[in-house]
Amino acid sequence: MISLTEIDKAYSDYSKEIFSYILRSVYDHDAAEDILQDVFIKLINYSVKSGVNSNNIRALLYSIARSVCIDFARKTSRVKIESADISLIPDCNISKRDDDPSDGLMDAMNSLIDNLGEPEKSIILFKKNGLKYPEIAQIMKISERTLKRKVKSVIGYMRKKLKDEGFLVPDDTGSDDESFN
Amino acid sequence: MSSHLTSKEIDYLASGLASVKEVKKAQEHLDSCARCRMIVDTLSRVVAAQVSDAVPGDHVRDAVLSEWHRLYNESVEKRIAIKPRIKRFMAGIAVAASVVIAVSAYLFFSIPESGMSYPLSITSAAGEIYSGNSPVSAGTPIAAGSVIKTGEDSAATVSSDNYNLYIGRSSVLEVSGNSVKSGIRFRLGKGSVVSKSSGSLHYSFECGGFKITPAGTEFLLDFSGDKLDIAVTEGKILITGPGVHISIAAEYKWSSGIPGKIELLDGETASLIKSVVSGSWPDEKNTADEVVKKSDPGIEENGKAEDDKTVSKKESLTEEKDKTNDKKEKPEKLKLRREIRDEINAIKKERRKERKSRNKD
Repeated sequence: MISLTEIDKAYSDYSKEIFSYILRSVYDHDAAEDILQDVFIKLINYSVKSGVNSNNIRALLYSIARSVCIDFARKTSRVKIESADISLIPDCNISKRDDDPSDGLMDAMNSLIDNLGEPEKSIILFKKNGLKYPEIAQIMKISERTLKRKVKSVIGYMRKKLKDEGFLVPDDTGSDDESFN
Repeated sequence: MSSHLTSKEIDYLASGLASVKEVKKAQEHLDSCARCRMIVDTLSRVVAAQVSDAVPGDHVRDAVLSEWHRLYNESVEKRIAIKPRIKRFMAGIAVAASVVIAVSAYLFFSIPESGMSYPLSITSAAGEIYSGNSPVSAGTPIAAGSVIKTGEDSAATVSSDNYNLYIGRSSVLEVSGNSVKSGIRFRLGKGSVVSKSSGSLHYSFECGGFKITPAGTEFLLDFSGDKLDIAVTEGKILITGPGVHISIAAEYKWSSGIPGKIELLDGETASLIKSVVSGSWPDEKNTADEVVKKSDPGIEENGKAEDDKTVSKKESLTEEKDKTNDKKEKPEKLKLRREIRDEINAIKKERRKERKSRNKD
């Protein structure tokens, strides 16, 4: 079983980023807190049965959090959440960079991310939380090659959508044939 | 690079999948092209790390730590509960093992001592019987070394578990040994005995220098005038002696007078054995007993002369035996039985008819 020191350290180190991921998944602060508590309790129970390597705790927490979020989404799927505007959530203000083009562009991007299906949404949220590709591949239990292909397809999708909505200048000169790949 | 970056180039750059060389090549264009730079920067934010200000409440931390304490206490209690159970289980196994060892040790040491000898007792079939020089009463236990003597008009039965030994008239039998390991050893001094066993009792006979080891159940020994006659009706016996090692199967007889020859058992001897086994030694059977001695009718016990009646009976019986053979007797007997059966059936039919007529009336 995981020691008290280890669980305390894990909570201190990862609770904030895990909470951020959960919050962006469920759009409910209270529900996100409940899920975060569940995630850590599940980690303790898992450690009782199987033991936990301290180097693997972060990936394990994300993996548990993802599965709990999916379960929560299934349970609440009957009550459809109309708005996916994460900026309305009071505690979820992403620190903005000074060179942000506009609030409208950010809202549109976030809206597009929230409307992504699984596992693309989780992948993008993990990337936003600062996870590396190998870590995400481990959590998602897919290969890095597949993961990168998915990320590229999401970027392409976002580019097209943003162009369609007029946030980006149409690419009138570039051609796919000239790609460096 | 004259034109703008392609869509693929933008996607690779934005997703961070482009190699260093590719990034360097694209950077030259991005430095001079504001449009492409804006697109790449915007799309890069999709996968760029962003610090969130959202923080869970402290109550979540408290709840997690209290749950840890609860689970820890549970696991400790379980460990404490399991230990006595294991101890009790081990103690139970130890007790069971010790009981098994004790019982097996008791059986190993006690049974041979308690079963040192087979229980033997004697009952009189007719007349007085002597064990040594003193008369014995019914049910008297017989110990090893006892010598049982029957008179001219007496017979006895020595019995044990699933074993009966019928001692004929004018016989001397010694119980020379009795132990579970080696079995019961009888020594027939003279006279005749019929042995009948239906159990696993071990026993053997010594008579006239021969050793008779039965592997069967029912046989007769007759020892008179240094001549041993053996007739087997059930099972098999092994005779060993000086120059003799022969086994006699059921329905055969053997005589020490002609040790190499085994003869078919005659009907009289067989019926004598059966009658002895089923009841006692009646006078008539006693005379039939003498049939065994037919091969040497002149032998008399202790030099005593037989009376005229027994001699005449002997002669008549020997004549009958000469006339009738076993194989010939069987069909005749069967015919007789059939006739008797038919008569009985006829009588029964008549009776039934009578009953029916009475019932009708």
